Formats: sequence, C-alpha cells, structure tokens
Amino acid sequence: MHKYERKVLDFLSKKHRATMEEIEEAIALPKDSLMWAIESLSARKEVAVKKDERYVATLSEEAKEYSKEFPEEKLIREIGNDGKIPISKIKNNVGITWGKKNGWISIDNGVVTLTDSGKKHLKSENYPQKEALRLIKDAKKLDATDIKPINAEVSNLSKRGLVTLKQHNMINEISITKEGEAALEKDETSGIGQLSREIIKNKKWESSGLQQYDIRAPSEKNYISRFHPLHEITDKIRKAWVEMGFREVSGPIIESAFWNFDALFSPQDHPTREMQDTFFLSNPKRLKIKDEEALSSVKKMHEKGWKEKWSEEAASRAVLRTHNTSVSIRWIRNVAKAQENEMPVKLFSAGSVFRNESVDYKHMAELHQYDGIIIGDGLTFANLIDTLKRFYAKIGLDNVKIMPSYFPFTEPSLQALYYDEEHGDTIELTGGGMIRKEITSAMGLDKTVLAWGGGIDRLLLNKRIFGMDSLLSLYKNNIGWLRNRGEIKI
Amino acid sequence: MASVTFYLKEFEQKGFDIDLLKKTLPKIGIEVEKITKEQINVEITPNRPDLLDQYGVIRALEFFSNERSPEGNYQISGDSGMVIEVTAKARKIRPFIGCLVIKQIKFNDQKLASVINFSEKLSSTYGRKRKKLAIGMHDLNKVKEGKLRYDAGKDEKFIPLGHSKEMSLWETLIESNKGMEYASTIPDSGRKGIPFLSDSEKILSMIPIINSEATRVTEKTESILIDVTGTSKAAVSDAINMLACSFMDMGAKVYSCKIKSNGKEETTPQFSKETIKISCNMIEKTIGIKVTPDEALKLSVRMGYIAFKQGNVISVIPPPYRTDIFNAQDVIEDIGIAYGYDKIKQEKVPSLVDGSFDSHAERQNKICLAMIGLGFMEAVNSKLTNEKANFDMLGRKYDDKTTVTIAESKTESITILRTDIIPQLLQNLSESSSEPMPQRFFEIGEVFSIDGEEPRVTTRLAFVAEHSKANFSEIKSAVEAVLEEMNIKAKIEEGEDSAFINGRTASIVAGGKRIGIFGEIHPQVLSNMHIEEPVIAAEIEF
Repeated sequence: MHKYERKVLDFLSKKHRATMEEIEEAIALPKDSLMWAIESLSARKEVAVKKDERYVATLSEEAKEYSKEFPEEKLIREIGNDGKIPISKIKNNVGITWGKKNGWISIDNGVVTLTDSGKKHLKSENYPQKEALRLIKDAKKLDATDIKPINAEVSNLSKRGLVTLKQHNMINEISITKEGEAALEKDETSGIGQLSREIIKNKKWESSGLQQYDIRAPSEKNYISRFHPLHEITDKIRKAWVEMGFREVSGPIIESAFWNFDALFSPQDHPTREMQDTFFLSNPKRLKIKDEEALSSVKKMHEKGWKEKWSEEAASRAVLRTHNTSVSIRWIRNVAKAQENEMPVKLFSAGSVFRNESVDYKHMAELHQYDGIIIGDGLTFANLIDTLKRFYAKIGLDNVKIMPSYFPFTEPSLQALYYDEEHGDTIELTGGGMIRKEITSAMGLDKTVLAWGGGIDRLLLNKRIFGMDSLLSLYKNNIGWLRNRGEIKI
Repeated sequence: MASVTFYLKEFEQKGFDIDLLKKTLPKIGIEVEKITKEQINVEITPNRPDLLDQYGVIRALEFFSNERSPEGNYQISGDSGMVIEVTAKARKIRPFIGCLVIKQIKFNDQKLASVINFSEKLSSTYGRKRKKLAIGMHDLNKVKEGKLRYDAGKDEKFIPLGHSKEMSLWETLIESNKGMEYASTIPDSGRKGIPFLSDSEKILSMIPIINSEATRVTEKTESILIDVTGTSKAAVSDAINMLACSFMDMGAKVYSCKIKSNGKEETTPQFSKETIKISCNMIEKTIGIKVTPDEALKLSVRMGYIAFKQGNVISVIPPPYRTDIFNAQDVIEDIGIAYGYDKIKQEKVPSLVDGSFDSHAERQNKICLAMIGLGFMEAVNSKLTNEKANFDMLGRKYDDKTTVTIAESKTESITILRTDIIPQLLQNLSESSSEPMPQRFFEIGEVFSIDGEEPRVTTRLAFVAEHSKANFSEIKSAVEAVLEEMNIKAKIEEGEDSAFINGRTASIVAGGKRIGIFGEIHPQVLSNMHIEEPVIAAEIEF
C-alpha cells in the first residue's frame, strides 16, 4: 500500500465516512495525489465513493434580458388581444418563430393575430421557459433533482443558445469498506522510508528493512528550461554561416535614414520611407552622420541616379533600422576604409529589424533577419546562387528555387523561395543580388559585393520547421508553451 | 511591391493558360499571389511599372516565349495637331506635362477597365499617389481641336466627373471627395492655384484631382486625349511611353502632341532610346555564364530588346515602355533572366578564411547557458513597448528626455523603446498565471536611453521567479552565482526602487557604478499586473 493510500485509509478508519473537503483539510497532500490515492483505493473496493451529479450553468447575454420577458412574450404583448400587425412590420423574428412554435400566433395573408392560447398566455404570463430560466439563473447550486422536472424547458433553452449546462460529477462522500479495514489491518508497512545520513552510517536498514514504494504513484511535475525558439533558430542560422567561413558582425538598431536608406540608393521619395512603414523617432529626432566623405558621395550618387534634389536633413532622421542591410552597408564602408583586407571578405549579421505594421499573426513590428555579404574580385551571380543554395541545404532546405526580383541596391537581383511540397507552403527565404556599382563606388570600394538578407521569424511558421500558428505567441512567452514546445527542425 | 489583379480571359485569348502563367511569370520576376476563377493576382516590383499593365505582362510573356518579335512594334502614326501651351503659373506649381492622342480604339468593358486600372495603379505607385505623376483621359470628340492650355487658377468653373452641377476649382478641391483626398498633392494645398487643362471653351481636367464630366470616356469612345502631368520630367515621359505602347498593343493608333513651355517646343511621346553595347565577356563577368554572341542576341530579343550583332559586340535598343534600362548592367540582368536563374551553374566562392562568431554574442550565449542551468526559462520580448507597461505598472517615473520615443506608430501599444526588461518579464509571468509553479524566466537583450543627444544602447540580463516561497535570499543567491559566472566583481548595497519592497531591494555596484538591482517585487506592482504569488527579480547591465 502506498503511503498516500495509507493516509486516506487511516483517516477514514477513525471517521468512517468523510466529505472530500474534510479529507483535503485533514491530509496535506496535493490535490492530484489525493485524487490518485482515492481512485486506486476505490478500484480495489477498499473505499466506497458517492458521487453527486452537479450542474454548472452559463447564461448568454440575451438570457439575462429574457428572464424579464422573452421575445415571443414581447411580441404577443405588442399585438394585444384583438390586435393585427402585418408581418412585414415585425422585426422581432425570434418572437415570430417561438410565437408560432408555442401556437400563440397565427399568420394569415401576411397579418399576425393572437390565437386562443396566445390570448390565454397574455393573461396568465406564466411561461415555463421563463420559469426555468429564472430558476437556473437564481440557483446557487444545481443538481439532478433540480433539473429533472424542467428537462424539456432546459433542452429548449440550450437549443436557443441561452443556457449551457455542464455536468460535473463531484465526490460527495467517501467511506471505508470492509475490504478497506482488512487491507489496513494487513498493511503492516514497516521499514525505513526516507534514507538519512544516520541510517546509512549505522546500517540501521539491516535490522529494520526498507519499505517498498508504489512506483506508479504520481510525482510532482518538473520542467526543462531551454532557449527561446527565436534564439534557438537564430543560433542555428549563425552556426551555419560561421561553418561556411563567414565572420559575424553587428551594427546599430537606432540608425540614421542615411545608412538605412540613402547609402543603399533608396530614393528619398520612396514609399517605404514614409512614416507609414518605418518607425521614425521623435527623440532623438536626428543623428549625426559622421562619415563626411560617404555623405558627399552618396549625395552625388542620388542626384545623378534619381535626378532629384537630395536632402541631408532627410538623411539625418533617426529611424529603427528596417533591415540588417544597414549593417552590411556600414561594413562595406568599413572594408573600403581599411588598408588591408584578405579577399574575399565574407561577413554576416543577425538581429532585430522594425516595421511600422498593423500587428497580426503574420505581421510583427519587430522582426529578425540575417544578412550576409561577400566582398571580392571577380565574383559573379553564379557565386551568389551557389552560396545561398549551399547555406539552405546546410539548414535542411533542399528544394530552393532562385527567381528574379528587385531591390534598389542590387543588380542583378534575385529571391530564393522554398517550396514545402508536403504542406503546400511557399516561403520567401531571402532577397539578394550584386550591390550596384554606384553604391560600392560611393562607399569608396573597387570590388564586387554579393549581398542578401532573409527573415527568421517566418521560418517558425512553416509546419516542417516548427509549425507555429501565429507570430504573436513569440513575445507572449507563455511558460506552458515554452515548456512543451516542439523541436526546431533546421 | 504593388499588388495587381488581371483578367485571366485576356491571357487565355493569347494562349497563356493558368499552368503556363504559374510557371512562366515567376521566371520574369512576377510573383503569383492568388488565382481565382476569372482573375489572377500578382506582385509587381517597383522597377517595372510597365508590368502594372495587363498588356505589358502579355507582351513580356509573348517576347519571353518567342511568340512575338520586338522589331517594328511601336510606331507613332503621326502628329495629332494638338498643341499644349504651358503657362508660367502652371510651371511653378506642377511643371511637366505630356499628351497623347489615341484613335481607332475598340474598347469593351474589360479593356476599358484594364486601361483605367493601369493608369490608377501607375499614378498611385510610380506616381506616388498622384504627387509625382497623374493621368487624365478625355473623349477626343468632345475636345475642341487645336490649342490646349495647361494653366492654374481657382475660380474657373466646370462640372467635375460624376457631379451634376458646375463648381469652381477651389470649391471642388475643398468640397468633393477626390478634392479632399488629393489636395495635399498640390503645393500649399492649392491656395496659390490649382493646375488645370482646358481647350478654347472649357476645362478638361482639374489636375491631379478629377476630370471634367464634359469629356467623359465610355466604352463607346473611339478616340481619346491623354494628359500626364507631374513634378518629374522623367516620370511624365515614362508614363506617356507606357500608355502609348499599351494602346498600340490593344490595336489602336497613337499620335503625338506638341508641348510649348517657356519658349521651347517639345513633342510627346519621345520613343527614341539610346543604343547600349554589351559583350559576352561582360555577361560572363557578371552572371558567371558563358554564351556566344548569337545566344546573347537571342536572349536579349526574348526580353523585348531590338538587338543586332557587330562582331562580338551586341547592340540593343531598349523598348520605349521600359523605364529602368540605362546601362549595360541593366541589360545584362535581363539577359540573365532570359537565360533562366534556375539554369545558371552554381560556382563556389574560393575562400580559405575561417568563420567566427561575434564575441559579444558569444558572451551572451555563455550567460544564457548559466541561467538555463539555474532553472530559468529564456524569454524574448520585443524592444518596442509603451510608457504604461514600461513605467506606470511598476510605479516608475517616465522621463521623456532620456527615453527613446517613436514619432508615429500604427499600433497603439508601441510608443517607446524599452528602458528595462523586468517590466516585460513580469508581463510574461502574468501571461503564464495558469501554468504550474514555480516559474522562472530570464532574458538577455538591449535596453535604450538617451545620453545627451546620442542614443545609448546597453545589454542587460534580467531574471524573475514566481512561487509561493520566493524570497530575497533566493534572488540574492542567484545574483551572486551569475555575477561570478560573468566575472563581475561587485558589491551589494541597499537600493531603492518603487518596483521593489523597501528594505528588500539591493543595488549591485561595480567600479563605483550602479550596474544592477534586485529584490522582492512590491505587492502593489504584483496586483497591478494580476500576479498572485510572490515574485523576485534582478536586472544587471554588462
């Protein structure tokens, strides 16, 4: 006999019978352990359990109004004893349906009048559905004897969606049986339970023996702590780039429009640069662009390329970076300024990016991206395609298609798509291309640059990789979700 | 990216069925979003406004699949005789105009709808919601032949399209729906004059707001006059060319117009484009593919170029509707597209360099592992938050001078960048209240503030624990363990913070600087956040 069972039987043998509350109070055990003990005793017929049929009722919003007057009652009151109302004038459809069902009204040539039974009800106001609803509404507790007499009405009320009844079988009383008394007598559980330093040292167990436990008894639940899924997937991506010979770099989250847009040849009147899509800051409103040389060459690039006036003021506006390409372009500039570089230079970064979005399950205001660049001589588009396909194969995405695309800062440009045939899902993995010559020369670099950037969060929505339903769960950090989440398969 | 809807029927008439569209469109850079019974929805990239037009997509498909040759396609049928005089007033407000005359149009409902869709899409995307570019269309038979005037005013009267009574330009601007919608596209919101186009008798359109009822275009219309106005000369001439080609593809004839402005006379449209020379060597150096001059010639023809070969050099003339082709690099991208991105042979980047992780990120990961070892679950919260969640809930004071603030947000709950992590971890506990205790969370991430005028970004570790026996001594022992793991030598001193219970709050001080705080969270804060069990918390900068 398990010690929990023993505790219950011990208590009952003194009191003979007890309510659940009394047992809970007397025996300090977690509720599920206690329930387990009672159930296993009851299965061996060592205790007898009396259960109570209890009902819990939930009332809809309408039900609260209806308890004063049902729509069908309202309808016949409005029609009145000898009244006639054209059906077209009546908006109370529920009233008509139930008025007809109850046989209170008749409809002739589109005119509604009261039947005899309708007139009778008008006088008495005694409506069984209403009585039943009031009873349920006011009852402190409901058991089978309450419900039985009004069964027909309850079924109508629940069909109308006014009342939902749920049955809860609660343990009312537990008593010890003969079998239980006998088992208790027989159960001379003796011997040592919890070991202690002293017992071990003195070899006390040799004389007293060791108790045998019920190893099926429930134990307290324990949980594993782990990385957040976003961190885990980001690290897998970072690891893949490092294994491919890339050096990890970083850059600022609070960025000037200059590095986020202008240095990347995004025209100053481009729609994504409006408040609609980008988080502009009101404090600090502007950031100083310290690289004077880059400032003047970028200005020239814009005025020549877009044939429009370029404003340094607009370029100095502070934004939350909208892509990690701002980190890439800063590093293109760093490499250009450095005296010696061993070519090719291969860099990547990963981090948060921000979009002024209306947030929903697929759109978040803060997202995560990885960006990469290769700087070198004689690099081609075929090198870029190879790098991307190799990377995706490394993280387990084999069926990757390369398609044409467009970005203001690359030419030629591409996008990589992943077709998950099993789930009929297509994910845009990355956009990339060869950085425009105008941009590299504005940065003072006489090399070819391959560049790309891809989203991390969206990968988690794919069923094969992780299968999240909504990105909104990411930041909620519900601990139950984090404890029980599945693996990230990339 | 612009999302556009086309009629499948028009494609089917040219022999492009759904399967073919699904297969071919992505190859020329058009993403297929959705296909319904009658329509197809696609995404068009901003460099290709010509593809906002159904006829533009059809022609691209025809060239790409060698079903049509670019030679001899787009010819102006002659001069229309229309002369548009641009006044100084109009020039000051919206300087550029171009016009076209189209004859022998055979509209049906669908064709008229696709022309209108195209011009709407063009002026809303490429034309930046009509500010940079707007298009007006008029029934030519209702326009007095000869001279037109592009002017600006306020009191001139006309009946706006879809209205029944005469209104002045100013009334239309401030009273009509279109007027209110687009008033901001005119400098000074129209107070210094509203541009309009008129013939010798009446106003044809109020620019860029609304056309006149007098020259309404219907599916019966056979000849039209198109005006394109804007603030960028290049955009106006691009739009004129795209519209001209679209009508030519529809089978109509296009005639040019003369624009007189500032003593100069110009003809629109201008179809002539400069010849661009490319070589196979350039193609190989950029794309990484080897092609012969003959192959290169065929590939460029499939992208709509008129091309000819002189030895190893290919000369191409970009089609008049392409607005994005200026140099050899642009043509080479197109040749790559015609070759097929899926056919380009992969080539490995030669490199002997070892990769490496960012050292800061590595240090963070090391601390992460220590926290997980202590039984804490990692949380990731957004850096975007609001004053209420970040300050008020914890009884902390909001200081607008030192808080990084967002100018305008579509989401109400986003107004600032977080200054602390504990508020969000408490939120996470509140979110998890129905889950079994004990609960322990940690997060490592950036917090933001302003130091002088520069933003200051620091990385912090924060952790919290909630259970019935959570107390100061538990958090203190965790903090001490973590400080040791982080190699931070610090002193623990009395601290003060409204989020914590007074007398159960400690400051972590290292090198004379306060680098962190920990203690028992105040019951008032717990009750603010609907947390029912005791909570301890710590936040450390590193």
